[in-house]
Amino acid sequence: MTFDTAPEVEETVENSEKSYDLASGVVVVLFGSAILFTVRDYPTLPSGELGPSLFPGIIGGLMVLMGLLLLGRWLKGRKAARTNSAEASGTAAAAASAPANDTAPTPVYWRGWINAGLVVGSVIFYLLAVDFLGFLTTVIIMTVGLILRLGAKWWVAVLAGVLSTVGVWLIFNKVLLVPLPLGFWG
Amino acid sequence: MIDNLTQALSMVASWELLLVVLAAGVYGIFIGSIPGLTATLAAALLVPFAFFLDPLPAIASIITMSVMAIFAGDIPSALVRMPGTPASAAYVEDSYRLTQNGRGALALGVGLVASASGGIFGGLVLIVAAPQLAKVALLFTSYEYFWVAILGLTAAVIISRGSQVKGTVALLIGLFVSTIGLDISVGFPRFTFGSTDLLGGINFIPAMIGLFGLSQVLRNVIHPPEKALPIRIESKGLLRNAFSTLFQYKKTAVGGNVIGSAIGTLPGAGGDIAAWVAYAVTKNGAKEGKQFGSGKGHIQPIVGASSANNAGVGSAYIPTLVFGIPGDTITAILLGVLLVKGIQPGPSLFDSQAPLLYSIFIVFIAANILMLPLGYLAIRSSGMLLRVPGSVLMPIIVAFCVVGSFSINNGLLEVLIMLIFGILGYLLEQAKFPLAPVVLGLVLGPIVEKNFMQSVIKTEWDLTQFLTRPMSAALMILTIIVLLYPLLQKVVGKLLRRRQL
Repeated sequence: MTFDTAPEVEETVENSEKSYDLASGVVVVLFGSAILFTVRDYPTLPSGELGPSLFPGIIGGLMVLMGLLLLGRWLKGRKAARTNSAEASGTAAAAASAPANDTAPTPVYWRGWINAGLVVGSVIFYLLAVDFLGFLTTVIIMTVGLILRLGAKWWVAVLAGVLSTVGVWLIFNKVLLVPLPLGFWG
Repeated sequence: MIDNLTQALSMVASWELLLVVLAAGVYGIFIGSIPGLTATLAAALLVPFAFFLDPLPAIASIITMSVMAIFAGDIPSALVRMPGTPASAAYVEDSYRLTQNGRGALALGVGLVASASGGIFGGLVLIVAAPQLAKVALLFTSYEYFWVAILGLTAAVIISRGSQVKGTVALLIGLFVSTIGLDISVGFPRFTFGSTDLLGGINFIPAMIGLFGLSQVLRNVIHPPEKALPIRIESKGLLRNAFSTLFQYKKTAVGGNVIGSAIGTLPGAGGDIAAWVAYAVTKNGAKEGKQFGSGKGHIQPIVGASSANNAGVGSAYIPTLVFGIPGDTITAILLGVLLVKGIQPGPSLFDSQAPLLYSIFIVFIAANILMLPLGYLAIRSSGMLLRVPGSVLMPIIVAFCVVGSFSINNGLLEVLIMLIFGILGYLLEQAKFPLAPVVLGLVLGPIVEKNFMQSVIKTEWDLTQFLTRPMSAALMILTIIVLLYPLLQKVVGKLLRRRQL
């Protein structure tokens, strides 16, 4: 939704979006095509009309269309940037002075990516280890490890990790009666 | 009516419910007041608990939590210039500047009483409007439900902030995921790739936990929010000053309430959009409007926007309860929980489950009254709340995401779904795709498809029925108007500008 009162904010959002248009456009087109390809031999209704493939087909078709629109926007943005690169640097300065948006990008450092990899890795660790190690051991390793990695002192990490895991275990296992895996302890 | 009300009162007056509501309120304030953790995240993490509760405590916990979280989002706005939830983003500059000039207590106090009054107003709108709309909805058949769902989907895209193309893509992703599993017309397995676990479809709850829980953790560890020490505020005489200020700007408050309730009713538009619109309207209407967000900070926009975002929380339940079309992401999550629990929201709810419905109304009003003491305590202890280190909090949220999705079905597939949606949510947000349409697509997809297929199979593909039934036609025209809204806005804007020249 565009708000007449805040055109400058809207503008900067539009600018920063452009850089993602190429990648997301390609992915969306490919994904939509993959859906269309998959549903092409889905069965029809007994009466011969489209059945199971109708909705996924519409979704896939619209995805291809939207992906193409994103690519078109990227092309248009690139052309505009080339013709008046001088003006573009002007808008960049304006963007810098515009009020900070809540989703304003902050610089990404390698540290951050490693942290994210470890968060994802810890969930994969849970998937692989929980049946063997049991819930408590697995989650204590996860939380203590992550807290340490994110920069807390070792005793804070151990205390917070163990207490929160036991807390979660008490709530889910004892109050909500979810049978959490015991692993080799059981 | 009186019968239902007394029955509802006896349902509400239980220790279990009181305990659940209190705990959910404290939890909502905690999550809401931490920048980067949204009310939707709080809802997603609450779902595994709600899943095990009876319907009323489950609904009550989500209502109380969201009401508190939307208010608590104001706290870090004032203290560290970061909105706690996106619903507070509109007026963060005004609150922070007020705090810098020693009037932080007033900013927060006004935010609190405006939130409570807005919440009660939204609740009253819900109580008055929902039963009336339900009478209309009782006449609906599969044709009308198809259009209502389409209207919801359209509104979700048009109203979402930012690019509408990206909003549409987000919606399509949600719709696509909803088609995974056995199809409803002939029971053909779609996109399961031979896996029997996927025949039942992608479980909604772990998907939400990933999309709004894990993705936020990923965002927070990749782009850690800057450390900022909260400014101390003097909370003496806080509530009295706040009430008198609210009274002083009562017109602004009423305006905010009305705008918030109206926008909250729209499917897919929640408190954040309500706050932005109310801020804009307050700014246009005020004498010093041009100076809002600068100088020493202004209290008037806080009155308008803070009452609007909480009013929106209440009225978002109107489409949810009457049509089964969620009004925002939190009600979308609630709807998912209700469906799992076997409660199908819709007009029949107003007949068959009247006491439950009245209890929901009571909880709404009660939660907003409870907000005053809880919010007051939160403001007083806000310095402490904001010192909880992210390094400890994020891993604990990861643990909750994992155990929460695991507990839905005691299975690892759900944890995997959570992980995949977490990564997806992060990527979508980075590329500036809105997340709300994904949820709406996920919830509304099956409704659209089911009602369409039912309608066409019933009449052997007589599509004219979608257009010629009077109520169907009216809903279709409404959908077209919503679709054309951005175009209309452009044309009207151009005309206005030409007149000014």
